[in-house]
Amino acid sequence: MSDFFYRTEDIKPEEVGQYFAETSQDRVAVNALKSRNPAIIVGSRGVGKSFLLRIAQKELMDSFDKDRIFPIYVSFVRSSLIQSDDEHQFRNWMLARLCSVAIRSLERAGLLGAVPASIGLLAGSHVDAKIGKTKVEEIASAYEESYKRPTEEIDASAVPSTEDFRDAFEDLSDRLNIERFVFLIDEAAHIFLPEHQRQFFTLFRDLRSHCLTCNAAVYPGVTSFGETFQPTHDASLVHIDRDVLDPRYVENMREIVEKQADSTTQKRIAQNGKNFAILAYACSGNPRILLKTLAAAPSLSSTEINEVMRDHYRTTIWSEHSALAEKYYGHRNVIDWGREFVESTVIPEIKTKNDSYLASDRNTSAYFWIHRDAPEVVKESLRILCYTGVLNEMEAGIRATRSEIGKRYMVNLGCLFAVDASPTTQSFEIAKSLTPKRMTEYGANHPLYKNLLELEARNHSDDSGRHLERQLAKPIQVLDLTVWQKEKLTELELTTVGDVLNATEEQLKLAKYVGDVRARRMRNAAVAAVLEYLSG
Amino acid sequence: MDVAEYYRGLSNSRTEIMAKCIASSEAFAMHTTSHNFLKDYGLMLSVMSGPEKSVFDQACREYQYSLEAIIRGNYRHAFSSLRLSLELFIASVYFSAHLMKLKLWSAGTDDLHWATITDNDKGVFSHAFLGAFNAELGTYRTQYAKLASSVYRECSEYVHGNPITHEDSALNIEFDFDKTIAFHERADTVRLCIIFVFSVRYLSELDGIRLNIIEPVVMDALGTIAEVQGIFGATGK
Repeated sequence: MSDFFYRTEDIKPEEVGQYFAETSQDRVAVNALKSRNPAIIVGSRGVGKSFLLRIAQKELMDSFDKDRIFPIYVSFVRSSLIQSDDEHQFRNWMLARLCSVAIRSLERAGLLGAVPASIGLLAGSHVDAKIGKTKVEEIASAYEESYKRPTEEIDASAVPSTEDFRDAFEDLSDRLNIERFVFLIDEAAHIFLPEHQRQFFTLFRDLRSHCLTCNAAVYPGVTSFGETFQPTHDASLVHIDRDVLDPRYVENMREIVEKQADSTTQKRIAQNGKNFAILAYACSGNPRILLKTLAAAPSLSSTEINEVMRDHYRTTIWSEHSALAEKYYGHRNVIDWGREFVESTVIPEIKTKNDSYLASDRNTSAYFWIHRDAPEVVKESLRILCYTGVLNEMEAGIRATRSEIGKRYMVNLGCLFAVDASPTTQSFEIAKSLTPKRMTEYGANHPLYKNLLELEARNHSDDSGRHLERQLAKPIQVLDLTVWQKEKLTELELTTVGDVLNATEEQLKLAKYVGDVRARRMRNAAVAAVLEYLSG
Repeated sequence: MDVAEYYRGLSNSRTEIMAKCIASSEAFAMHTTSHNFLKDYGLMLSVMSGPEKSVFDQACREYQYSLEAIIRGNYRHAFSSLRLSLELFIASVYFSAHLMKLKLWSAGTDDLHWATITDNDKGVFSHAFLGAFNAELGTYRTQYAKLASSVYRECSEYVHGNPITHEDSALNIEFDFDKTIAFHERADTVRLCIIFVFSVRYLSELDGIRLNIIEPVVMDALGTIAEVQGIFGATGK
């Protein structure tokens, strides 16, 4: 059985090309990332955003000698840990990260010489002075100084401006004969921190210069662009959700799998084409979910497929969604209402219609439409469902009955298939007859919205700035540890997630019977808890 | 014979080789990258606190000798110094767990043997060593042990003048592009092995600040290993 890579982070950057099953849509995205104009790749978890960034990086690097365009891949995954009352802290953190990764990338490519901090070069200090620091390195240290001491008052004039940042890169581009630097920023704007989103997009716009292009990958729910950034004007937005209606859809999904699959898996796919197609349709264009479900149904028999449908699309995907309500407490009502709306209303309605369409040989549906004047909280709730992959956001500005305007969404096909008692029986037929023209409509004042509006009105608390503190203050009971381990933490008087996070492993080992491995696991659980809760 | 003139002539040849190496963009980019590893080693050194630090420092110095030798066309010496630096790097980690051996070695009463420090049962790649310091990386133990032993053997081939390196003994001194590239590829492998051994030994005991210092070095080299991603909290999805 093949051992699949589910995440781009697990593949060596220089090897990503081997796993690339290119579609014309992928090519558009990669070309947009390589072009002079900034691009923002939008897609839900697991659709391949990081992968496309890495492909663009590899292609630019391969042609570097000819084009002199230098790609720099940066992940902002840990940005959620930056919490401060100072509005500049996050900006400084971003700039510091961009500088330090740029320097490291240039050093690794052999384009920039490093000055080791504590190793005496053979020739002594004389040479050190001659090598000197570049402007970028100098401003990187200034930014780092700034964000690493959030409690201290920072002299704002000592922190370089974005203009200094741009100048430093212009300087570097002249010095190294580099035409342009291309930043490829992954996990760019945190889905649940609108303030981070605003600051990110403001910076994104400010950094544009003739020798700098910023590109980013974001989730569909990221919509707080700030005052200066205008989507479509300041960047090309490229949605990378794969279209299940594309005639080559199943073939392309199969190619993605084949890049990683051994011959046994490939043989089973060839022998069970229809069942593989069901899995491919069910994942609704998400390669990570396809690979995971395929790993759970290696023989591709109908029994296995039915079981995977139940496990993943009726249980896992929903529990992942609901888990967000625990992590982002302030969004709880919105998250729970979204699930209830889609699970208990939208999907059953579409299913009933599809049953009758199939009986009379007509086209089927997986689509619904929401009026553009629907309450903001309802739209927010749907955005979060897009982030989890339960929904795919389709076209905005679609006319429905009585020429009313709204947005079309597609329900994850797996979730739709899974409500059937035996999904393999008619899922394939549903998928093959899909048409976006058939969509269930929900108007501007649908009665179902009322419940959410009331809940929100009752419980309106601003969560954005404080959830890190709340997370750190949570009792250790929320950690994924055994009862025994939790008892040990209590013995050491470490009662909150924050306490465990701040404790060193040496401190943890002071408890009886806690050695290296257990101490590590206990601390890891705290780190994982905080990061998971924050980055989703 | 004017001996001074003889060595001046040699020195001029070396200078010419260095100029040719710098002029070759591919070779010099690799040289710069290998030089930049010193920055990583500097960061690693900065988070270490035990007496083994001095051995790590010596390894860094030996590594610099190897860089100087390669750019000046002293190919055999370059590989020899690279091998010795690998040995010293690994030894520093080994000594961190064997203080008595460090003392004896420092006093000159005990020798350093590659076979001892990489011994299958007691060395830095042994099951026991990983079990004691970082069991999570146990899965990769044999893979990196093999890698270290391969790169050590390949460097030795140049040191001992094995048949494939014989052309090196020719009397004419000139820039050898292939050997230069071969050296930098080995330097890159040496770095990977050192970062692995360093991660095994130290990551579990570093506090948050030190982990932050070392993160870019370790993630750059071992970032595709899930266990390492976990340690640095880099798993975002």
